[in-house]
Amino acid sequence: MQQIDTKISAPPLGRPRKLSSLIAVIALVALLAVVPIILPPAQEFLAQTVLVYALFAIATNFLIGFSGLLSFGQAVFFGFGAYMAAILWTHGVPFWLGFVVSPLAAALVAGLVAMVSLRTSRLYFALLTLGFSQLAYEVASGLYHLTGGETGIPGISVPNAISGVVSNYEFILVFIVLAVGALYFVRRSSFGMALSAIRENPTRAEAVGIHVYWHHVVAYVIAGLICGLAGVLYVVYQQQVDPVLLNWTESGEPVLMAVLGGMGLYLGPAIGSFIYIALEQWVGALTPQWPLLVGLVVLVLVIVYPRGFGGGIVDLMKFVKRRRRGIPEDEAMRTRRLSE
Amino acid sequence: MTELENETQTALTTKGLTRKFGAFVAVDQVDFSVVEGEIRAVIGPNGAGKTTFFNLLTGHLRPSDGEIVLGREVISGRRAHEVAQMGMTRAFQTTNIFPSMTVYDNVVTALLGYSRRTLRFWTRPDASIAERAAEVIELVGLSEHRDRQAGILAHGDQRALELAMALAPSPRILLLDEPTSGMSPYETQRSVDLLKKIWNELHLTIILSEHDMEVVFGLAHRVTVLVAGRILATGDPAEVRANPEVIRAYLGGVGE
Repeated sequence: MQQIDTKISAPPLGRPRKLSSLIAVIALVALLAVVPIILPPAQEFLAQTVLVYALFAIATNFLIGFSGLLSFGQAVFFGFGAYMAAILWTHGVPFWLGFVVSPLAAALVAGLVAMVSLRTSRLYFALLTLGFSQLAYEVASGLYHLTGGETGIPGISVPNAISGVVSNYEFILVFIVLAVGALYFVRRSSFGMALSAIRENPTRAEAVGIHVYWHHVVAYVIAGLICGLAGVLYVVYQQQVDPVLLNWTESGEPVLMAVLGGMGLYLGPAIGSFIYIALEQWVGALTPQWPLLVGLVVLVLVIVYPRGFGGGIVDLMKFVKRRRRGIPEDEAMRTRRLSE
Repeated sequence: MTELENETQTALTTKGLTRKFGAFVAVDQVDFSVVEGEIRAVIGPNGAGKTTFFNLLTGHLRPSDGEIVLGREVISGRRAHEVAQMGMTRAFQTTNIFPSMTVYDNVVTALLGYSRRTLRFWTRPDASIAERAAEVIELVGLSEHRDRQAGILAHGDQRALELAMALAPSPRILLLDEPTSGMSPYETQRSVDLLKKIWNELHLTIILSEHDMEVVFGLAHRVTVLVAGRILATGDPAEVRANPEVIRAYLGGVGE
């Protein structure tokens, strides 16, 4: 290595962790932890659905928003994780073994799907992932002796320790917080920087020595692992599975949630999950045509405000803070607005 | 510009390098050799095959025939990321950066890629990478823009950033595809001065393609003229400038 004589000192790596952000995260987790105490049991089931789908949507957005991989097949891994756990648990396999093996198996399937699909261009990749989703649905419907066919597998029991309403919720919450936290650190790691670089400019990424294909395969495996975990957690609280979990429409849900909440924000898809399920519950109670409203909201968001509801909340908070302090719009905001 | 001191070590050679696109032969049986520490300009009219030749060298295209040897290692058929990791880096004809990242993150990402440290899932880039990134940013004169988003820099600064990304791993060979294209006369001069400064400090092997003959004759130790995918002439700038075939095929049209 040739050395250059320079006196400049190295800058600190990354942004300094803000105490306020840490406090906000702890407060959010604490708030989520007391939900089963505040909410009636019927609403708690809904809260669990929001949490599990939030994890599913965050993992999907790790591919679509963060890595630039338009995957419409994430339900394959969500459903695979769920089915694997359901089959193992109903065949007498210990709970923890099934709990660990099922997401890993989903990650393995994701690796195989990725190695095939990523050999194609962007559009064909999206179509292939959609195709895999439909294939998985047909397989799950057809293998009646193993999967219960269209009926699925009902009445899956979980250990007594987590069969209570509160303990079941808290169990799910713990693993969701761990998974969301782990994925956050992956995004900020050297690997995350490489993924951002590939999304921005794959030609340049390759020219600086990054193997685009394998980085995408690994990203797909990580997302598959987390989607698989979300699937296992789904079984923990739903205690049943059916082939709809694997259907391509199920793959579309986390994408819509990410768009609703904001793909540019790490927790945006979680906000999207809340909005989507709220619309499903409240508008769905009034009319079976509630997906029309979701479609309309997504359409308006994409055209008018692509940063989604999550991005809107962040922008609003920044705006209020600036107005209060009389600080002019910063360069990054201006650039982003211009680029949008 | 300091003269070449060591002409014994070959940095890169190609033998019979050929690339066909269907019936069209873009690069045709090119035998090319560069010695360590040399600045070699590759010139020629539009469509002569300069960019295709560069793409073959860096693995962005696979050769239809022939061989590329980097140092003593045959690299023909290697992928672009492997060639970069082996120490041949490049700046592209059109600016090629990571626009929404900061200047600093652009260089850090490049360093991570070259040093094969991108498959680290928990850790941030270490202090050695941070130090090296700061050095290179200082070298190309972008320290004051370190934390700015790369996409909003002026064109000349973006080209300097691309140069920093290519220089970051202390490459064995640096390829610059039209490093002054689209630049104002002021930016061109700044760019030439910067390249001279870098060469004087590092004595890097540089291969550049360029249309601006002032830049070529002001920088290069030797010049290779490519016409219709074939080498028409190679020599020092004075020889090439005086070569009647080169004047007829290319230089005659320049500046008229």
